[in-house]
Amino acid sequence: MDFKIKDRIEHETVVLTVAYGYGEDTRTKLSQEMVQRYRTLRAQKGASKSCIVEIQSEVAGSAIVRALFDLWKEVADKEKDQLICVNYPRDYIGSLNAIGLTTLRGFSLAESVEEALRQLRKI
Amino acid sequence: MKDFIEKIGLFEFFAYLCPGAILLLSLGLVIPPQSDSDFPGAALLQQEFLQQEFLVVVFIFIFCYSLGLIVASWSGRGAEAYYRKETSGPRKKWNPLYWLLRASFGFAVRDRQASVDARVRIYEALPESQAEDLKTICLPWDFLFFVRMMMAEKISDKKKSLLAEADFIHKRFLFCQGVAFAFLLSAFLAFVRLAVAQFQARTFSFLLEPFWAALFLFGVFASWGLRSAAGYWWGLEVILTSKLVAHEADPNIEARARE
Repeated sequence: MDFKIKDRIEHETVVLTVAYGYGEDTRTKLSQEMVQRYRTLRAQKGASKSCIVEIQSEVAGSAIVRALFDLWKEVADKEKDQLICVNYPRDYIGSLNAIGLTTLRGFSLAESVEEALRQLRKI
Repeated sequence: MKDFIEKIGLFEFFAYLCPGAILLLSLGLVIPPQSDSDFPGAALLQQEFLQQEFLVVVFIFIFCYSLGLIVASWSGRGAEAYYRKETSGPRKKWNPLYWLLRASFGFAVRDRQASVDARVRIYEALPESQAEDLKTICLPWDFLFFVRMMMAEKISDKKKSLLAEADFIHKRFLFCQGVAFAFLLSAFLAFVRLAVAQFQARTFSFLLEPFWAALFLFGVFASWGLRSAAGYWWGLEVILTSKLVAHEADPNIEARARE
């Protein structure tokens, strides 16, 4: 697989750390895998519904955009639930805005996991 | 002149020259009528180069076009700022900047999730190399236009009409956005003129300056109406582009849908 996902719980919030490259596997499976990891971890540890996705790649493409959108549909169905994306490659934020992801209620960007947790009022 | 207009193109003429012309005319109307001798520009009008009609017409065209480009660019940026604020969360009701943006650039944002879903699908259908080129695009409406431009060569003849329709709607959208802001600025000028007249007469009545009152009301109404239309056209453009891209990514989509 041309992507790696690590998951953990911080302050009762699911944090998914994802590193990826370009490739067919990323395009087809990244979204599925991230949603699955989120569901499993939440069910096991009873974390809150909000989620933080930390990106560890320099590029962004349709795979991560699709994954974030699918995860947002899973996470943010109520006013207070949020999906926060940390470290989204700066050069690609324009296209993320153009696609409209940043305009969705409950979706936001942050510079670090600490900042994301502050946004969620967890610390 | 005919060749010149043909070269500029009808779209350019309407989308950029019109907002500039509307604003220039409004500014002209605001200057109070005075006798020739009192008019501050009277000496200027006597200049030799202004006696040459052709030069004056070309100058006015260029001036209107430049003004129109500026107005259209402000309008686009303003609409984008409004779009962001509109979707930024529940606290906007107490934010004066939000209400200013809403009054100036607001348009109807319909079914946000479906629209984002359609745009994600469009993005997915692009090859990675082309998606990379889109990283500098910031305005949501420019995104659709660039996607179509990148796909134009690949689009089959059957779908050319869909492409043409989407492009036409995009032009209509830009026209509505540019002219709406020009009308709003005209309404603002009329309001200032109206306010000055009311202040001088020390009374409040729309009938005191009916022309300015009418221009103000028309400007506000036209701006609001055009912005509503722009919101509608943009929604339609998203749907058409998403259909176009889906068809190109999977030409058998209709056959499979029937199955």
